This record gives sequence, structure tokens and C-alpha cells, in this order.
Amino acid sequence: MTKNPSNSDSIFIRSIGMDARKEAVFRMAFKMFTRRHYQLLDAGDTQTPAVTIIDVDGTEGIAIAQRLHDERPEQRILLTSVSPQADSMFPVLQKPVRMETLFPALESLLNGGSAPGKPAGRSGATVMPIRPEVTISALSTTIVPSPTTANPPAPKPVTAPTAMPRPVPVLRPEEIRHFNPQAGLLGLLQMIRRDQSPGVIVDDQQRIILQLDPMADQAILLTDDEHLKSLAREEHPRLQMRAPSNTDIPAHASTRHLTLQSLLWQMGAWTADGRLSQQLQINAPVQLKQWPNLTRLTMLPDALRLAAFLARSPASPALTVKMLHVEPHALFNFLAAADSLGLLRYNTAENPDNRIQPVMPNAPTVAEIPTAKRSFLGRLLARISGL
Amino acid sequence: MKEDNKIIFTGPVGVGKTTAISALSDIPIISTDAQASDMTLNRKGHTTVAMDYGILKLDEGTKIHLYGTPGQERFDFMWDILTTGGLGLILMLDNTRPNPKKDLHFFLHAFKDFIVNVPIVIGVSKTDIQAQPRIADYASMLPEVIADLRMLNPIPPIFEVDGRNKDDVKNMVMALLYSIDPGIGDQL
Repeated sequence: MTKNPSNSDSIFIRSIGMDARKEAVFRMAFKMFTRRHYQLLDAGDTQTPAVTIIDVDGTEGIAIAQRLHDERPEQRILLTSVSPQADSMFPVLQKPVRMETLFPALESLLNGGSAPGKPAGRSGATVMPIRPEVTISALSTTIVPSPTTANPPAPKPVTAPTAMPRPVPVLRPEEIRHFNPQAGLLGLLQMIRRDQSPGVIVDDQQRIILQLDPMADQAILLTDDEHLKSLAREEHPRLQMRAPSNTDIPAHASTRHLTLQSLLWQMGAWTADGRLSQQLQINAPVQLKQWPNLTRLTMLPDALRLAAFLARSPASPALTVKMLHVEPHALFNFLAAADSLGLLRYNTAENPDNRIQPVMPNAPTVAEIPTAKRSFLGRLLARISGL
Repeated sequence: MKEDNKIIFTGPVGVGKTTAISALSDIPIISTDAQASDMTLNRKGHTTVAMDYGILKLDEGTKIHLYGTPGQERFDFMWDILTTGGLGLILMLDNTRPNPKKDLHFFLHAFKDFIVNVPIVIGVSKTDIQAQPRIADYASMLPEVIADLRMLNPIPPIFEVDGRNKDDVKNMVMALLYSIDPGIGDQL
């Protein structure tokens, strides 16, 4: 039986029907919520979830939830959908999901609302479908393809939003942690990228971790993500770099192939782990030289918005948090990932070529977006992300 | 209130505009394909000689019209008509064509009056067949290509895309919307 956790316990949440980007948004929301310690389970985790959140906008739709309920009637289920059904037997959150509705819904489920075995029906449910009036954007997408062939059903209307942005996250300079991007594994990888010469990275037992060919933009990984993540967080891992040889990778070795760009991007974010690069200052401007190739890189939370904002004009990290209401750790991870690919400009004495460039005098002025148009764009964004 | 807006997809013949629009449209797209009878035949058997048209519905009163321009230069007289009322431009480039840099120059200049006021997103297709130029090469050639242009977003998104991949198409459109206003996505 699913127990009711106390406030100090980790409360495990399982997601179904969501891609990595959507899960990242939920993880971020759980991290921001301090009254309870929610934790989104990874695919391989074996803990019993207190609640399973199911995105029912995929091809299987509500059938996934029904199947889970049949198999495990005690399991608490919360649905998310762009167009919630009025007669849903499970509580449902309207997408895009907002913190203001997500946590009360979870709380209600954990406190016995829509009691296990007694799903919320049309009447008498303690947790009813939750449809916030505000429906602007979701950053994420579903992985389940939806049919685009002949005569698909007309979409459900996207309700008119009102502007209620996320609260501005609190940014306390004294609480900002820093990291050195030139140290550790990330430092070695950046050296290989800059020098454009192939290399292998080995541990203190001379076991190969990575083989890298920057000219071909290729990386061969001989270890798993968890190991790489732990190495990324060590400032002084016992790693060495040397020239590759033909016998580096045995024929039977288990390998994974990535582009070097993808590896650098991911390692930048893992190394930052919510910390700001020592090379950046919280109140000094940064600017994107070009957008990251985001269709072929791990989609970090808020990456599209951050790229759009920082490609448009230079802005300090502090201003970016204030303007976009992004979590500082998400911004710092994005900046570290972009910087690991050499995509950031910022003023440093050591690298005068990387200075912020003035805005071109003949550049068109970006007009302020009227409220009605912002509302329309928000609805369109929600519609696209829900496809 | 009835609201209608357009997103324009452009690019050379065979780049995947029709497929990209199909990925977004709520209706079977209206495509005026015909048997190719000129040099286009070398690249694809059928080609769009007028335009592709799809619709993305927000609600009963609000539609987004998705237009794909014909790829051949001889239809460029239509492009001004198509772009009126457009939210933005998605330019798809084919990395297997002989001179994609020339294509980039051609299309940016063909739509120069449009992209003063609206953002552009560039999607580069078929990079799995022909890796060069890389995305970084396109980004570094851009300042020279647009030196005589005024663009709303002079540092546009440049992504590798496959028009058959719905997520790629969605990311292009989402990047376009964020390029209009990065503040629109500040909800969970």
C-alpha cells in the first residue's frame, strides 16, 4: 500500500508519457518547492512512487492511466492534458502545468483526496479536474507522435490566458556558488576543443574514459552517464589526457558515440550543477555569439528562451533572472553549457577578442509587444508545445 | 474576435517545407504539387509550383496559416503577397545542394523587407548526408551575407533539422516565437 509520507520524507513521483525536457521542468519545480521534498524518479529507479503523473496527450491517451489503475488500484494518479475531459475519472491538470495548481493537487492526493481505489468521478470527488484560467506556455514537448494524416480531430480550444508570470526567483549574490570551468574534466575537454587535436582521457588506472576527435566532432564514450556526471563534479579528478592510438578501444568494448559538441554541452551543464562560472560576474553582461544547435543538444530547462534573450542583446545574469523569471541554477547551467562550446561573449582582460560587441547602429528596434499579442503568442506557444 | 496569422516556410526545392508544414497542420495540407519538368526533376519527382497551405487552429476563431513558398526562383513574385501579416519566416536550407551559402544569401535577400519586422529561424536539413557546411560555418558566414540587410534578429537560431522529425519542426517554431518575445514562456 502507498503510505502517506511525512513532510520530511522524500516523496517519489513517477512520470509517464513525458520527454526529458518536460521532466526537467517538473524537476525544477520540485526543487523550487521547499515545503515538501518531491523527487521525480528516473526510468531505472525502483522506489514505489507516491503519485504517478501521466501526460495523456499522446497516442495512447487515457488508456495508460486506466491500465495503471487496473494493475495498481492503490496508486495515486494525476493526469496532465491540454484539453482535460470533464468526466475524467482521475484528477487532471490543464497544461501548461503551473506550480500554483500542481502542488495543491499533489497535496490533495497525498492527503487522501481522490482516495486510492476511489477515483475522482463526475461527482463526489475530493480532487476535481483542475483547470487554471491561465494557460500560456509549456516549454516541453511530448515524445509520443500524434498523427498528422487525413482528417485529424479539431483541437480543443486553448483558453484565453491572462498574464500571470512565474514569480521572480530570489537571487542572493552571497548564496551564488562558483566553479572553475578550466579545471577538471571540462577543462580537459575544452583544451581538446581549442587545440583541435584528437586525444583520449584516461583515469588513474589508465582506463579510457573518452576518445575525442574534435576535427570530426566525434566523441566515443567508454563509461556511463552517472560516472561522467560524478567526474564532472570533481574539481580535481585523477584524469590524464594523451594522444590516441589504434589499440585504445578493444573490439569488444561497449562504446557510445556522440558529437563532441553534445558532450561538451552536457558536461558544461553537469559541471556547473547550478553554479556560476568563475569567468562570469553576476552583474556583468554576457551575450550569445550564436544560438546553440538546440535540436541536436540536450534540451536544458528554458534553453530556447534564454538563447532568444541572450542572442538579442547583452544582459547580465542578474538582469536575465529578473526579466525572464528563470531559476538562477537553470541560467547558470545554460551559460556553462554555452560557454563550453565557445558561444558566449563576455569581457575579460585575458581574452580581448571575446568582448561584448556593441549593438549595430542600423539594427531595427525591437518594439514592445502589446499585451494582446503576448497573450496570443503565449497561446500559440502552448499549442505548439502540446503537439 | 477572429484572428488570423501566418508563418512562412521558405527554402529551395526538396528541402522539406511541405513535410514540415504537414507536421504542424490540423488539416491535410493543401499542396499544389505537380510533376517536375525542369532542373527540379533532378532533386525530386514532384515539386510545389504554387504553394503549400496548412492550418494550425488555436480555437474556433483563431487560426495560424502555414504557408510554404514554392522553391523555384521564378515564383518569387508570390513571396511578397504571402508574407503580408506573417509572424515570422522559417528558412530551410539543404546541405546537399551545390552552394548552400548562395542559397542563404538568395533567400535572406529575397525576404529582406519581411525580416526587418519579423524574426527568422534557419533550419539546415540533410546534414546526415552532407555534414559540411556545419552550423558554425553558417553562423560565421552570416555577418558577411547580411552586411547590407537590416534584420530584426541578426543572430538568428540556426538548427540542424529534419522536416520529418516533428520535434525539430516544433523547436523551429518555438524558437521563432521566443525570438518575437522571450518573455512569453515564463509559466511552468
